[in-house]
Amino acid sequence: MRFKASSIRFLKLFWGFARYRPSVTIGVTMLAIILALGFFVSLFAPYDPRRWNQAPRDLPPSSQHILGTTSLGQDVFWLLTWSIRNSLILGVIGSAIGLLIGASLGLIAGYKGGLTDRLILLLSDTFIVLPTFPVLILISTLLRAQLNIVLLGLMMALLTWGMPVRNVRSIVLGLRERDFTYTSVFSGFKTFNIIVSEYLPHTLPWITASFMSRINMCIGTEVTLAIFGLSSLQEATLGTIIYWALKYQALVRGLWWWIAAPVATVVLIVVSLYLVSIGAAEYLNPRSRLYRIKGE
Amino acid sequence: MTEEIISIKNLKAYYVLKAVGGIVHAEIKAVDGVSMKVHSGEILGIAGESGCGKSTLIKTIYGLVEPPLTVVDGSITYNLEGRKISLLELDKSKLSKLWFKDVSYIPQGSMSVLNPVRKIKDQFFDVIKSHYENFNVDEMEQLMIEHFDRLGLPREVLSSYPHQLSGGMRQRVVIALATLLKPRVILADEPTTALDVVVQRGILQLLARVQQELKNTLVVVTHDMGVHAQIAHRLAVMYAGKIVEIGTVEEVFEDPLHPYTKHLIRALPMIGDKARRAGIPGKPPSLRKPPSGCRFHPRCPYATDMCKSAEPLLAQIGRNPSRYVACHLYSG
Amino acid sequence: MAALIEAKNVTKIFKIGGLVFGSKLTAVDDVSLTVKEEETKVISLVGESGSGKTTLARILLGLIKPTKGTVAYRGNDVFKLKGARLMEFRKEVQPIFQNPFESFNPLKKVDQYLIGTILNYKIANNEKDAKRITDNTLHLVGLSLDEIEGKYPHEFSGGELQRVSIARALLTNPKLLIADEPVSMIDASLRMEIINIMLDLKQKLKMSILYITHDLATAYYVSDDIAIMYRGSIVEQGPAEEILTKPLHPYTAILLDSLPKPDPKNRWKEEIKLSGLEVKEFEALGCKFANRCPYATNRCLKARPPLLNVKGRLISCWLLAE
Repeated sequence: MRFKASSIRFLKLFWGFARYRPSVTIGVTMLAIILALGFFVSLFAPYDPRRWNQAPRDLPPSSQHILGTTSLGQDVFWLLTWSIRNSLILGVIGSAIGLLIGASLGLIAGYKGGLTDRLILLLSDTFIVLPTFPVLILISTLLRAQLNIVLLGLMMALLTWGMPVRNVRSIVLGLRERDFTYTSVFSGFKTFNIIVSEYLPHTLPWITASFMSRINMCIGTEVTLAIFGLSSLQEATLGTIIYWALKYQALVRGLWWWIAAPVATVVLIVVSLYLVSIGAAEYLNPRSRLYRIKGE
Repeated sequence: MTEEIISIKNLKAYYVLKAVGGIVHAEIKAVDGVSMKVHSGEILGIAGESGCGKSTLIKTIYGLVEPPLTVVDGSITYNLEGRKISLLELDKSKLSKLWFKDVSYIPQGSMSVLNPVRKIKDQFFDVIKSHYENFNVDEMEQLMIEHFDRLGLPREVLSSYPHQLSGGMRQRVVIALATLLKPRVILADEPTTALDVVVQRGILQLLARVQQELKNTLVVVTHDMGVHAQIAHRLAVMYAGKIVEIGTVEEVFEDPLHPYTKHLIRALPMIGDKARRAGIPGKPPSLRKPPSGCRFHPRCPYATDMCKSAEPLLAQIGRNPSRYVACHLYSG
Repeated sequence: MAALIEAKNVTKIFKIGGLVFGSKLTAVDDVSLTVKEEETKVISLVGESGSGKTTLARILLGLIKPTKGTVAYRGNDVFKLKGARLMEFRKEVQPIFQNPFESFNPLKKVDQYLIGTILNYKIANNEKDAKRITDNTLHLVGLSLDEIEGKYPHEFSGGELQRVSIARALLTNPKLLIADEPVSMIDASLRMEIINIMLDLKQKLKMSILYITHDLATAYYVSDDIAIMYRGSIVEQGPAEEILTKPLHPYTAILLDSLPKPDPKNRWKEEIKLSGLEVKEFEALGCKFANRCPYATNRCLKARPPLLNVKGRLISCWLLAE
């Protein structure tokens, strides 16, 4: 019963959000198309698009192969749908897990203060200072064979969890001195409850925006790794398509569709996530939220 | 003394809330048919609860009308040394020439005037420069220092940032800014709310002193009747977008006519008097859908059927040309 | 029997500015205050901004640690309380804050705090009983559960929300209510309702109230005892009726005189001298009020007057030290 009520509320919130601004509507629509391609359309692939020699090679886009084929005999369209799925999964794992660890520690550090705060900051600052890219290169070189989407995602999570800590912590520091914290304390609420029910809602705008921009970051990092041949090359990701296309000198040989498709898709994902994340941060901002509730 | 410096006729200023597509879906009638005159050289107090429209009234008198605030009807005429200026017809550039120089506005809250990232000195420079382009830096500094000394403000404040000053000090700075170019009219909206009692006294006495020296006109809007009693010459009481009583401050305090005014005065605690005081029953009315007839009737102990249906007009009482009340108890 | 709350020589020093160029601000300077359980009184703590009254209130509530001095609850150091003892303390000593809209999280429904208080302190153990108790308590402040259920803070007016705030504090049946400027943000004409509620509660519930305010008029109306604070120190303390009708300390006199009396025939006579840069007053070697005091002598500028018992009240002024 409660689940139904809160899911209806969530849907209403989302619907209101989608209509919030033209830029958000565009972003949400683009994202919806991409998600549909990656998670729905991809299920209809007639064969495993990664397999070589499934189709005639080097064909330009036609009615049979909407986005043409590669030099390895792969259909670009179906390959793209699987890549979208994999890149997004990778991005979400990297973003979500890193954010989960970072935000939780940031909440605790902000509220507890003192020694706990300093220890958490010490740990997170160390990770922030670590140069993500060289470390990723190192790890992927070492784990070459065992690399897969999930592992890549986890690696990125592990290297980027430091950043949300300070941000979330500063939001909490600001909230800690506000009277409603004291009201909660004198209402008998315990630390965990205060952090979750008083502070978390205030951090949501930042967390939502951060979640999406981190997905962008992960996808981008994967593409970069892939170009250097350090990604999970047997998997279908947006980066690996670009890798193989570059390896086979697609541009020079006039096979523009092979490179254009993944690049355009990356751009679309990045732009749509960006638009949605900016819109979400604004929409969920406690002050503008109140303004809207008041207007109803 | 009785020359009019501002004449307001049937002013209606509403907050017009529009839905997507420009369709009006609500009007908040903050100022709903206000007519009154401000006399040159006087201190006029405007009293009323928060939400009665007095802040909107004074903002409109200043000319600070931005959507959703819309002037729906009425006129505001300034009479500055013979020049008659119809305020609502001025465009932004003519208005800004008027601001600080002929008319000054002290809004509620010093931080809405002061720029947090600039030194006080620089903010004063800006104001002077926008009206007197030929002044050089030394002349401007001279002007500022003299002004600060006259107002009793420490010179060190000039080189500070707003956040380094206390609330009371900031408000004094805002008053200095508003009085710098010696305007003919100063409009103050709750100039001392949230300030300490002693600082409040200092600021009110400062405003009164400035008014005396420059012989200009001061309009003070506040819900605090004590403030009005201490510095105002005349008092206008506002309720739900309308003026319900006007008179000299002595007349209104000694013999309040409108039931609302009576309540406002009697609800205040006074030292030496431990008698139980009653608050005003009920809630302030909605300005979206104000009560029918006399807007005070739901909270009025003397309300009759006529009060529920017919709106009383602001009418002169007897022979006294300065005394007005909008109440059926006194008409006919 | 140990006093309910006893503050002894409490001092709080804040460091403002950076590590290198920062300075110290003594917000509360050697203040002692006692609230006894046997006497249900309304004690007013009166002072202007910068007097330290809010900081002192937060220290008494156990929310800020003093730099020096102790605060004891029934003989135990408030800052060393843990677990069940801490809960007991918070049950018996409850706060009300100045801004009702800050006292509640704008994103949470207000009734969550009320029901939460009852369940957390185990005043009831199911929601039905909790709601019943909440409703009864809300009646004490002129409201009901129906009126407030499911609403967010911004859906209330300032006066209403402050009453909800008071109701929340009453749920645990406290012995002491620490009210920090409870009516400052409410219209002058609506203040009396809330003040009257507080007075009624003192009688009905046999509860003491520490009423912190800068408004002497309401302080006079409600208090039994009064303590006047200036720049962190108590300058005059004793029975309210006496102090407010026959003030001895020059600051108290100026404070009283500066009240804007709603009587046009009784206007202020002298023009008041306001503080220069306030920080200097905190750092003054002698009496902190000396710079503004019309009776200041050389001695006042050089040395701090001690808090002495004179004519039935505590007063810190060289003029009366003899």
